[in-house]
Amino acid sequence: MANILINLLPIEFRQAEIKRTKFNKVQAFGVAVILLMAFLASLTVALRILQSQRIFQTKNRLSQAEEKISSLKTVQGSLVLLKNRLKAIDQYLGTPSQQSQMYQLVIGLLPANAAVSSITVDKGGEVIILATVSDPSSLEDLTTNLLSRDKNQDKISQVALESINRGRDGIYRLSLKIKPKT
Amino acid sequence: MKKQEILKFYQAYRLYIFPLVVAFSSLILIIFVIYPQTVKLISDQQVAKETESKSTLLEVKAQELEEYDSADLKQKVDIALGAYPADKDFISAMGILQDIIAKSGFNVVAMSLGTSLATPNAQGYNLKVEIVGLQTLLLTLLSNIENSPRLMRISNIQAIGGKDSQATAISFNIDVLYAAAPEGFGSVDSPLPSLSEKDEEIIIKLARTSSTFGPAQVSVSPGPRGKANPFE
Repeated sequence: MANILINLLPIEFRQAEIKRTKFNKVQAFGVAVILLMAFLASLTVALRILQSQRIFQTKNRLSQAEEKISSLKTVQGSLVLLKNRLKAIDQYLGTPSQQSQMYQLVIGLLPANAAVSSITVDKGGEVIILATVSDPSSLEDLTTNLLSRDKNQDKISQVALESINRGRDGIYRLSLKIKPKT
Repeated sequence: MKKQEILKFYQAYRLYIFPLVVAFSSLILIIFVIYPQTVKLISDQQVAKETESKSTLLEVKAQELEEYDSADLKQKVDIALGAYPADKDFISAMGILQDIIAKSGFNVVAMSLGTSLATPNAQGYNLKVEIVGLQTLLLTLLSNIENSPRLMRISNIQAIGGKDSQATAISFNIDVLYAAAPEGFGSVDSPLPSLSEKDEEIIIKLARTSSTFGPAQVSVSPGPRGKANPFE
């Protein structure tokens, strides 16, 4: 046989009880929220304090390093100057100028029988040779050497025979203008 | 009486008043503490990171600078400045050139200041040199000049005489290079240039050639200049 439950309390009591239970829940939630907010606030403040301390220490280290570098400014200056000079020196030292290269090339291509009366290498690297050659084969050797890409190391762009004449002595006198490749 | 009224009012409406107080307090905490502190924390995090990296960089730089032997560095700078000085050094350059010419087997006939510079994008002055000697030795001379302890470039060559002639008259112009020193020598936080193996090789090469062809720089003693009273 089932039990029969009868609430004999007045209805106002029941409503007050429901209201109190509801408030208790709201109160618990509110306290939790306040606690959470307080925790977050103290956490951020603590982190900020720690961060400020770290920044302060780092700035101290920074200023110490800056002072040390300032005291070694002459060493830094010397190093910058040295590097600046060496960069330019490296560009030129041991690298022959175009004029030297052309002179070396042309002298190297002259056959044994050719005698140079005068050789001029101008600022643009253009070479003018006045030479005498005793026989036609040497003359041919000279022009072949100057015009051959393998022998002239592909450094000559143009060879102009300005003048040539053969004397009574059978010697060829010639004037050559050699233009370098730019 | 008033307190009791307030308590009665609270009891009646506490279900609404309490959440409102909690929300208001939370809002105050968020607006005045949590939000500004968090924003500052994030922005300072960047500052802290930058300061840390800068500090580490400068500490490394300071350590590197301390490791340099200043005497050795000064010697290297002297060698480099001897090869590529900051201003015109006619006397020193002419001395070196004369030494190179003599050691290469030629005799100097004349030496004078030339005209324009042929080396592109360079600062310098031109020297015109007239010499006498064997044309077969000219290549050695040109190589010695362009590998000398002072930066020089041949700008033109003129040789008159037979191939096997004993005394060929040779004249050539030489660009003697110099450049003004850099304006700034680097700030505290500018990166420190380091000397590479190639740089060391260049210094060794310059030192070797300067011992062969004499000192690159003529030291001038800072004695009294001219007369104290020019009217005496």
